[in-house]
Amino acid sequence: MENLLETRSLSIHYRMRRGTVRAVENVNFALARGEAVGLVGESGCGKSTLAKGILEVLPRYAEVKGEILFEGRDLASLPPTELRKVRGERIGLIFQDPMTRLDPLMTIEDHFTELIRQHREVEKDEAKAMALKALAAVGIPPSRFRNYPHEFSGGMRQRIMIAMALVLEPKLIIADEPTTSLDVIVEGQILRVLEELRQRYGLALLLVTHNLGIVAETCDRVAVMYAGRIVEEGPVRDIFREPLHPYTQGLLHSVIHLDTKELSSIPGYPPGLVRPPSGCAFHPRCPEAFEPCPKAVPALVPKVGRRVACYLHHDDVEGGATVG
Amino acid sequence: MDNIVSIEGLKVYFAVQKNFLSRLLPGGPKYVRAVDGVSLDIRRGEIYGLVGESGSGKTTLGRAILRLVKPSEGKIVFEGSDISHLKEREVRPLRRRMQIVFQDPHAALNPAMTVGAAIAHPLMIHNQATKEQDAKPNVLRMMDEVGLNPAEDFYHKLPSELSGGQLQRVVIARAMILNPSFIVADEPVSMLDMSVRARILELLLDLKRRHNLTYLFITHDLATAKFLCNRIGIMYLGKIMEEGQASEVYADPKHPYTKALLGAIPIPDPERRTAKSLPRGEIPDAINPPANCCFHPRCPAAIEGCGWEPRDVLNYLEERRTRLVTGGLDKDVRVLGELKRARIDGQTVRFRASGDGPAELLEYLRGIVAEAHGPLFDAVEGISLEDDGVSLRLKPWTDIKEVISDRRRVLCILFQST
Amino acid sequence: MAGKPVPSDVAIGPEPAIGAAILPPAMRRGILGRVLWPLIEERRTLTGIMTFVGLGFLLAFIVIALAAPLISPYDPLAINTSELLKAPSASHLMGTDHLGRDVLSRVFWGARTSLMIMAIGVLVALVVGVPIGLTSGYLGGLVDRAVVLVMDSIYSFPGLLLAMALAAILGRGVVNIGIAITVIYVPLYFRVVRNHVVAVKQELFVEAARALGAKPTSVIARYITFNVISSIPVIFSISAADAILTAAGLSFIGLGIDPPIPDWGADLATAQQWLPNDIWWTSFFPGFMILLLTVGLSMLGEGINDIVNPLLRRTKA
Repeated sequence: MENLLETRSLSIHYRMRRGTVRAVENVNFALARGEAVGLVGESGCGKSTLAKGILEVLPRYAEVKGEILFEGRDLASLPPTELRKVRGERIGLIFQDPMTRLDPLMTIEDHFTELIRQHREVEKDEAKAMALKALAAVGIPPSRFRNYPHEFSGGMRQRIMIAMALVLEPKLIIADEPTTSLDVIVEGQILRVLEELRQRYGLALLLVTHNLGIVAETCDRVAVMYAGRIVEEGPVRDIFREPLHPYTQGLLHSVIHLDTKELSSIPGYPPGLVRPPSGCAFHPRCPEAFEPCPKAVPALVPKVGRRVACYLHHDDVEGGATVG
Repeated sequence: MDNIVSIEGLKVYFAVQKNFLSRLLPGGPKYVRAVDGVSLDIRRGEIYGLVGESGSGKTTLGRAILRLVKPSEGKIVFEGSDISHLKEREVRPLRRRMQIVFQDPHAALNPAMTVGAAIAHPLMIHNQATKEQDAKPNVLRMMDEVGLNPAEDFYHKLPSELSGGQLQRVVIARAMILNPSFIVADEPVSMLDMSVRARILELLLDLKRRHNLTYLFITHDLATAKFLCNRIGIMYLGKIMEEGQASEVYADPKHPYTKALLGAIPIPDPERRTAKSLPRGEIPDAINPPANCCFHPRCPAAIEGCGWEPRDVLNYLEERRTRLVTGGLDKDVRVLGELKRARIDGQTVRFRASGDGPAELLEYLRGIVAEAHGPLFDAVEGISLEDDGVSLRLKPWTDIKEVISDRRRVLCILFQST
Repeated sequence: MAGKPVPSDVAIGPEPAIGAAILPPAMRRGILGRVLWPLIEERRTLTGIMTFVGLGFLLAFIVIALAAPLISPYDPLAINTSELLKAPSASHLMGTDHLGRDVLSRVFWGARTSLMIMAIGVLVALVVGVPIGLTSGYLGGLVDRAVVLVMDSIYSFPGLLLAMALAAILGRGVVNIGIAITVIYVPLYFRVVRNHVVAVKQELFVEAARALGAKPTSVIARYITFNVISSIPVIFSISAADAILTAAGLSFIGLGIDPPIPDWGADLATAQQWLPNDIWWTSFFPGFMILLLTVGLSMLGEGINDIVNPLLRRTKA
């Protein structure tokens, strides 16, 4: 069965005065129907760019190479009207700050009506009914249909975004840091709503975040990004239980949770993307770097049910450990 | 026990900026009750964790202690002197002893000042140096201490050229250069990457040990607070809900809000995916907080006497309509009418009957109350017929009082012996 | 086989080599550097070119104005009855006017007059308007409200009308026009600076300054002024352009300069009557100079605006 979403050798570079920023470099990545995949990494790793790239909402000075296939069709080759249809109807999106997506001068009713009627030939009444249903599904009472965005709290605005993303019954939801600006309790509520709706409608989810906790709770698979590339990718349970890539290990250890006994961090700083370190971009900070690391970028190879880009786990490299 | 900071009954209310017309209307000006009666002590040498969600008032409390905002009521004692009523220029010399580290290191630094100038600035403000050149050796030493090596290289850089972690080190250096005794750390790592957080926290701990500092650590992250703090206070809508030794509070949380917060933390371990019981709704705005215990509308352990008021009934009815969207909504709107038009009088709410007459309204309401469960409905005293509609009365509540026992303070009716 | 943890790695890109030569790094931190450096960086873009052209116009204008006594071929006041209304020729590049005076010389000297008006009017407006804006913005409250009310009242008058009223009261003369123009433009400087101050006041780093114990004057000076100063060059250019037009307008209707002082607007006015006789040079050249200077100043102002504002955004990251 074909994948719902697939990127092939996807690279996204920004041409800036200071040089070319290689935000996303040669990413091969796939998402199946109904799957929840987490895309994690710290700031500057390229995860947001990748999400935006899939939706073709990048700024003008971005250069995109490679293919982005959605339901088998290359999004880059679609004419703008087709692309708009895909973006609204087949892919729903949720951003970190709902206020940037909501027009402060339009009521929620206007937002929904406009959105629905852009993509479907329906009467205003039917659009309203669809909207109310979507809002009810996320817990927004119908009496607030005529309110303006600023009259809602942060959590409610995020729910409205989710309702807007789902009202046209898409197949895939892309959520870019959807709960980062929310508190823990509201975050839990939002994620629960998202999960319920996902199960009910069989949606796929691409969750872009730096919060490993919510990935552990929501996702089936996870892809870890560093300096524009995927360094490890596979089932959530496996990767969290036994991370292979040293960056993944460092990242997981640095999360502070209720049972943390000791603080742990990764030395150094994330690399600039204009002149990244040679070879494996992580090698300057890697406690286990060895001879082949600075020479060439390690390929993302399959290993025990997942993929990892690290010479330690390349069987054909001398000195690389094999996972036992 | 030497308390470096002592607060009693502190209230910080902000007047809401409304337009001219609304100021003339009855009801008077409205206030955001950011801090609504907080008393606490911070002992010298400890790390006190102030934990709460956004809107809890924790940030305002931190700023009030430093007199960056004016207290509306109450007493603040710092190192033995009452600073609650001091004028701004009297507070300024005190700023040498108490400092703040902000959440957003980018925004906290003047984009027009170099790193060296920024760190030297406090010295010049407090007349410990007249020219930046004189202060330079001190500044370089401080930069070394916070880990900005090599210091000479960083000295001339602008904030726009540094990463988040480095910027936060600059902010810390700037706060430390005058050798304060008390630092308010307002979410110092929440905007930093995960792999960098630990280093900044370690720096803070290191500085504390070396300079005998006391911290007020403000955060929404319970996990970090547990690791770092000696005592914690959980804040909600301007009040302290629970306070005690950190290890004890986490091992045995008493307040339902504390339990909810602990339960809501996402754990980075997929094997431990449990269904969470989360309180409903969100933290309400602080202009008109819920009556009595401000957490009661969301509390999973609420009982009859927590503070149920007519507002809660109307909120319930409104939310109920969400469920009726699939069927029954029209009838509900017809019989109950616009919920906004219900009139509240003390513990009574009056609904105006629609064309179908008060009898139908009475039966409808009785039906709703009968089939619903929860402490709100236990608090319903009676529903009766009026001339033009129906009135619903709620029982009076038990006034909430703080319970102190065994190094723990809890603000919860459940622990009050009636 | 452990790798070494790397010392801090700051990600800034390579710098254009020529730029580094023009403005060494240490100088780039200063106020002037903050405006000039991005200008140099943008020199090849459309915006950059526009700005440099505008700057060129302004510099040429200043040079002409200052050097007028040296470069004018004739005395601008010299009446020559034998050369009345002669078309442009080798001896009179821009022709002569109705009194036989050389138009070219009058144009050069007219630049001087305009420069003086600009200097007095706009510069004084800056010197008065900016500090009031800084103080009023920082203090806020009733004081701010009151000052804003006054300034807005002045601002809401159509500039030329107000200038006319003032000129009528004060009388003619370069200084009086200068005063009239000052009054008109003070509110502009005030507004822009005050609004910027109010915005910057909210920033966290200003609160941080207070937390460090900084006194209000220090806060205004170091923190607010520095960040606000970037909006001033723009206003300066644009108000200068406008001032030229206003002064010319005043002269045109006879309220400005005492004749026979060379002044573009006045000359334009007197030249009107000769147009029906196909005598175009007496009006064309003064008018064209006004146009050139105004356009140049506007381009300069707009260019700086475009360049400096992204700088603001960038430094705030």
